[in-house]
Amino acid sequence: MGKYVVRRLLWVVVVLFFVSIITFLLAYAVPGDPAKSIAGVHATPEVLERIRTELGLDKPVYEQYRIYLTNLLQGDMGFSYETQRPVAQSILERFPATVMVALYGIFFELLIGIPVGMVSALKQYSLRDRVFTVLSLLGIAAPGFWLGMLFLYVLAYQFPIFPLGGYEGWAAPLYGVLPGLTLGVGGAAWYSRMLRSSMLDILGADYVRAARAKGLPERTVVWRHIMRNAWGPIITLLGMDVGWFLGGVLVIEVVFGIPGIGWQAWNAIQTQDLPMIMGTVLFAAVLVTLSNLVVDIAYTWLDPRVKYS
Amino acid sequence: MTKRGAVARLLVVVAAAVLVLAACGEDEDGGGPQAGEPVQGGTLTVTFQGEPTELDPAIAWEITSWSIERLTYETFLTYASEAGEPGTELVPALASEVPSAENGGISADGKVYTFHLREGVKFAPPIDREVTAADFKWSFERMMKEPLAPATFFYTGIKGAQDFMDGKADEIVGFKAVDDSTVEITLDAPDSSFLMAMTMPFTSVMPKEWAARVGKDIKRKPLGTGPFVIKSWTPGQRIVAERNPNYWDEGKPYLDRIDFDLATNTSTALLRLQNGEVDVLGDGIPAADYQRIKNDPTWSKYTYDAPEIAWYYVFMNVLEKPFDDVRVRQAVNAAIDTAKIQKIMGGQAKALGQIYPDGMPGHQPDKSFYAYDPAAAKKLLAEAGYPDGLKTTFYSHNVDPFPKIAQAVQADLKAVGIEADIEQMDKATYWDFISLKKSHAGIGLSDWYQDFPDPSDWIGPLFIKASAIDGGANASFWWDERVEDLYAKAVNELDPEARIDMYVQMQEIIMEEAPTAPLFQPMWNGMYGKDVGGYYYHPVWNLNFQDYWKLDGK
Repeated sequence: MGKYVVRRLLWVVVVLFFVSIITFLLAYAVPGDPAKSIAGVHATPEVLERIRTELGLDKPVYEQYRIYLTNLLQGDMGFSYETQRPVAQSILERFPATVMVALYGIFFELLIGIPVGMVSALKQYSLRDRVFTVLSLLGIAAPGFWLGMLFLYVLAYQFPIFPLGGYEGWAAPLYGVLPGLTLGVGGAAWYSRMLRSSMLDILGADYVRAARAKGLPERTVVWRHIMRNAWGPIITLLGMDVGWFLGGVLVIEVVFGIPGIGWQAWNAIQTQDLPMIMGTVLFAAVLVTLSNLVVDIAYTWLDPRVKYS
Repeated sequence: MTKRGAVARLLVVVAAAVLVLAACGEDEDGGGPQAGEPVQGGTLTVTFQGEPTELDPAIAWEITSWSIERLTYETFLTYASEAGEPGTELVPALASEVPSAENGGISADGKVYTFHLREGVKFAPPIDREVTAADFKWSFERMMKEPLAPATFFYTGIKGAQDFMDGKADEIVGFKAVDDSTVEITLDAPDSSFLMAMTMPFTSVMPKEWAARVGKDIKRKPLGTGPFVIKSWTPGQRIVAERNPNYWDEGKPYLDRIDFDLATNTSTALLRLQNGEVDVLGDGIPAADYQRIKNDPTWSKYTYDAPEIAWYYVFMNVLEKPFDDVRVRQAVNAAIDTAKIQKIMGGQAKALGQIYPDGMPGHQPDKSFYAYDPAAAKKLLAEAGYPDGLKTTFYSHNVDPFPKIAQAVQADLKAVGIEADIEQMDKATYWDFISLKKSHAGIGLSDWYQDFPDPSDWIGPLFIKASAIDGGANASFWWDERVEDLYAKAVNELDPEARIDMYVQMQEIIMEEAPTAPLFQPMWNGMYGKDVGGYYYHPVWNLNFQDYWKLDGK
């Protein structure tokens, strides 16, 4: 097990290396000039030339990548072209806001998705199942910005229960509820659909019939025999979501004015702030690969049949 | 009582409350916040969707940064605190008067400018000492040698500035601190827009010892002489400005504090303003909400529309066929229905039939050089050898409102036989693309916002040979000997009327040769809360927060 984790962690490094090369090349393949983004459209060509030299943009691509990688290996992610502040600092500064929304998002996904999925599966084709199915499809189809504005309008403006967007740190957790709810409603639909189908597969299994035949109470049948085996896909989905949410969900951050890393990355892309783009992509890549690792480990714990070698 | 009953009752109560509030709003008299004496005290809350990249006057060149930075940093001169054209007049700030030939501030040959410092101006705490001429020299040289400074080109006409930037001199000889309270600036050649360049925030004064103390953090920790000090900056959340106790202009500012709420979605900001949580929309009314707010009997009273000194236009690249032919360029001017485009812009645009927008000296009121006339356009195209029309590509970036304007122009061009495919790209890429000859962009959309309210800021970057180069802003790559001559003369001309005359002549030539087709002048659509006093839109500085107050002083 320990050996396995170490090997997986080494893989993370390899993945990051390739992610960094691809991101760097992609950022370069896009036409445009970061110097122009910094200096603005009114600056003269001489000024742009000086800024390019200052940032090292006049060097060939491979040379720029070599410098970047050398610094990265020493733990230095460089400075943002736009703000001239350290990239690592900027990301860490904004990470707590993203984490807060992500935690609420996951909480609401599970809170809504799991009961709905269970009821749908246990009462298959009932009226409740059908209603939930339609609602799930709506949840999947509703665009985040629309749902977000709707929640803001109703739950913050018409009925001022929650603040009208913004973020005031972890000391003010109310600010995270609506963004989290928006994420959660969209995501819950996936969980309920996934759980419903994975439970339906199990419901007909021999060991469930055996459990029922030996007269176990329904509650025990559901929780010990059905759910234990239905968790798998949910855990996988959760692992993906954690990685995705922690990378910053742009639409949610923009609608609710959450100063998270998603919005920062979006700004960086618009201004061709290469060090910031690289930093955010690498950071998100680390989160995704790590959360996948955690999921794989969780599998062994949930299902003793799964072994790693 | 059942739960359902409780919810229904809540709804009724809330609906009643909304109606009462709405009724109160309608009862209020519409005198508007312009009326009345300023009130001291209070906190103004402003929302911005963006965030300043930095608050360093040497580097920042973007309106959000400027409107915050200018609370703290000042220059010799500023523009009068007035809306509209009166707001383009230069008035003294840290200087005691505006240099002129009459007061001896400008030498007879127009090359030497003398600034006398206002007495008793102190830097904000904790520096607390008087500002000297040496501070101006140090701050200016700091800006000129900052590698990321974007606007040094405005000042390379100062004697010795280029040598200093090239490392050939350790000071700018033309920028002299004659004594503690006098700065003398010598130019290589007369430059009639020099005072305006000196009024841009790039020339702000800061104390050397503060810059030394905070080091690289100077970008986030500004300190100057202005009406406010920046108390804190929480990235992505908030910038807090508080009154500067050392401020030289007695009785100002009115406000005790300004909170800038950053990263606010513009639609949410509007809801917050209507809720009374926000006082000023830093980005104005979102386009999607504009008509609704304008039709709202209560809130329309708190909106503010003002023309910006800027223009949107179609550029035609004279290096590319068929736009090398003046008749084709004139045909495009006649083919575009600018009234329709104004309509598409939904009240956020003002008619403009010339290159100089309203508010810019040289603007000819009610003058339109080309009438909308598709028949005339067809005739011109036929004369140019395109009786059956032609095909081309029309370029645009993909940020609103460019795409919808591009589509309107495309339809108008089609009506006269010019089949244009629209090619869109992202904004950062676009400006770079159309500035390069090798892109062969024949026709496309552009806009230009003033750096200062003087027609030289239109002609210099957009219509002369020196800017018709790769990376320049003259995307038409057009220039003309007559304009070159007039421009050179105007830069040397010290009589204001005579030089504006020359700029009017240049406009006549440019509109005749038609390297561009003017579309409209953009409008600022601002909005403020019910407790805000003194709101106006400044033609140069845009939102001039230091002039606003709170009606209730809270």
